[in-house]
Amino acid sequence: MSLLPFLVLVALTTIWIALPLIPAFRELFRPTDATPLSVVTRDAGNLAFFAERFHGWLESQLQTLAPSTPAGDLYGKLSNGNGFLRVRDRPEALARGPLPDGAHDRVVVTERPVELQGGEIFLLEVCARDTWDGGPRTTLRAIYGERDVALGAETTILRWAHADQSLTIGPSSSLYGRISAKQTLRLAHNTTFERIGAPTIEIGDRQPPLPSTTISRTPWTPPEHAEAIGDHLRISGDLHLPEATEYTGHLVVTGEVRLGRGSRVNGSIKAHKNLSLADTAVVTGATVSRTVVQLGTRSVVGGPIIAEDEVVVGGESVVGEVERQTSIVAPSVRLGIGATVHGQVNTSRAGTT
Amino acid sequence: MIVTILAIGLSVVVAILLIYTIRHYIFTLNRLIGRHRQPYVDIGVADWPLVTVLIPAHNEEQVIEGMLDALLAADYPTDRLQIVPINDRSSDATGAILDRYAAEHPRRITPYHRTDGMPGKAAALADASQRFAGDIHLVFDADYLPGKGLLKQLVAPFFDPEVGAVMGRVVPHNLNRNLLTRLLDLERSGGYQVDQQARMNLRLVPQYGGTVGGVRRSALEAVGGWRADCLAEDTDMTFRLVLQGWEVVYQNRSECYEEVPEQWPTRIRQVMRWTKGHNQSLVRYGGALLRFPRRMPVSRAIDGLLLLGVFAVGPILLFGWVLALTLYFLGASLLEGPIAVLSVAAFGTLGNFAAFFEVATATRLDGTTRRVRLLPFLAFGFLVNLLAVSRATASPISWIQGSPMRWDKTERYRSEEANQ
Repeated sequence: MSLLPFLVLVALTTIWIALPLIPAFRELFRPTDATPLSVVTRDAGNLAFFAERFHGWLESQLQTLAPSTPAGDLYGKLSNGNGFLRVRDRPEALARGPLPDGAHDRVVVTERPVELQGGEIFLLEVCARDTWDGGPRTTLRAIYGERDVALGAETTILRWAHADQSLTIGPSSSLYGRISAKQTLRLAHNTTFERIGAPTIEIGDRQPPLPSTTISRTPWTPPEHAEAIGDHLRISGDLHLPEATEYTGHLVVTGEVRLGRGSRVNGSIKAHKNLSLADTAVVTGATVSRTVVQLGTRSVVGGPIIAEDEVVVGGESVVGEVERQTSIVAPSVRLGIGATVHGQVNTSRAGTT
Repeated sequence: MIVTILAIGLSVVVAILLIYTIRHYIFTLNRLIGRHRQPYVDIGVADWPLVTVLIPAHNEEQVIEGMLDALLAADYPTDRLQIVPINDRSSDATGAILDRYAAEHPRRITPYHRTDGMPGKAAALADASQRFAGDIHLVFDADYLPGKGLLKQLVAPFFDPEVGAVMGRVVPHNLNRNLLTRLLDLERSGGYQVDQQARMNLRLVPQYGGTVGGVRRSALEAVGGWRADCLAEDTDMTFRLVLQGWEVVYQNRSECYEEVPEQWPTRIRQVMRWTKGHNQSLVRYGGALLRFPRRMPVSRAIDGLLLLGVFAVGPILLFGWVLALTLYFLGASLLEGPIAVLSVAAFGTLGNFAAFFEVATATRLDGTTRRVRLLPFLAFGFLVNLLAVSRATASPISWIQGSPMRWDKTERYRSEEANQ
């Protein structure tokens, strides 16, 4: 009997087994993918990161302009090949760009107050060294304002917008990416956003402050089945904090939480299900839910609001303080007219006013 | 009679392996099609609490400067941050380096020199954590390189009052050294990107890993502080916290570079230490989990048991191979009936390949598609681990409580040039 069939079988089997090892050996001896994973470092947390980086880069570019550069409006090229337009004399140049649809395909730097009619399209970044007053239906890739920036109704921001002073955005606008201001950010009604941040974020027109009401509260006694775990109290089932009651300490509730009108928690509170604050209720610490956090009108939360589905902030509610800024984090966030947030709102799906 | 007993034993082995196989597939499929849970990582601004960063260090002169420089560059408010390197009776220049940094940054770095007491990381943490008053205690190994924003990311989950511990993701930075480092890079990807994150997504038991993470001080006090008499203080802490009703959170985006072992003997010692520590925790907390404590959902208790038993799978597999061979030579027929066929098939293929599927999925999620070509070599790494784990399991330290501990330090490879 010939050994040949057996040897052929052995050879074929060996080849079959070795087949997946060929790319493995190639990758081992000639690595093509052996650099460490890049880790998140610089841009996390700082909403103005991209704006600041652009501003710094633009400054360095403009400093390299020849001293013989004309003093007035200027068309030129930046080191990355993009064209740029510096406006000092004639802001009318911004009304219509060189592209057939009137869009601007240059980086725009304005060095005088600008007031636009509306409908302009800026496909590259804008840097406004003086005030910028945009008209309705403007589309901007990104804008950096060194002073106040106002954008009209139905504005679209594609990447980011930042103002070193205040940034005001008209109704029915669409804000993609990061929107920030160093002082005040004002969003009108019916605006969608992803990430916004400022020491003060105001929703809607500024309302005169309502007269403050003094609420007389009585201490709330936890139910008997509540267990003390470390520095918090764990309550199984639902919790309803009655109207005008007060509790000091952190609470973790395995069911739903309803904080009654005028009630107050001096600490943080977490619900495994929905968590709602009735009108004028107060939580001084964080408010956390595995589903939805809903704030009634004129309620106050001092710490972060974290929800895994949605956060709804009622009209005239206040989140955080100027000196103690905080964050709202949820896939979806709705901010009521008259609400004020001191800090950031970060959504993974969408925010609306 | 003997054949029957052995066959029952083999069936139990196959069942255990099948459970772990299914577990791997659930985790992997969750990462491919499930909802990604990361509720805290976008907290960018807040009234940040006082944080103490503890860095246990025993003869870490090669790497400790890199760690301290990275922490000094962190964007955490300086008035809320205490950096506490723990010099645990180092015999090299570690102590002098720490004193120099403390002199240069007197209000930011406070070294703690240990000269007596029990040796080991757990004992060092137990000792130091009682002396520093931060609301949150973050822990890093000395060879890690935290990014600028990492501390805030790791602290953010503690705004949730139920969170007792937080774990970030470990990323090897010396992966291009040799086959071992590249295999460890793949293993880490599978372990963090898929395993840990899936447990986070499914609200099971993400494991606090002892570095790139932290513990709430009030939780630490509530569970009695760090245990000095264990080899895996991280696993021990994880289970004491979850048994008391605290949550452990994993954050995949809170990444930190580490140095992985570059030599097989170092790696084998590391695996053996982890095995012994894990087995100690299995003995300590397995019973409590089996009683399904009322503060834990049943799914979490089951996952906790499987997590504690993970280092027992290797020896069980070896035992299964021995049983199967013995039964074969005793003339027993294992292939009777479709269930037996299914069991043997699961034992022979799925049981082995589920972990590979997990690693391949992790590389896809990381977007590093070409390094997956090294996947067949993982079989070699798997065999080495199997032997190391089995050897460690046979050691009495794995099972005896309160055994004397010692620093079994992982060697460092970083050059001075790399530090710069």
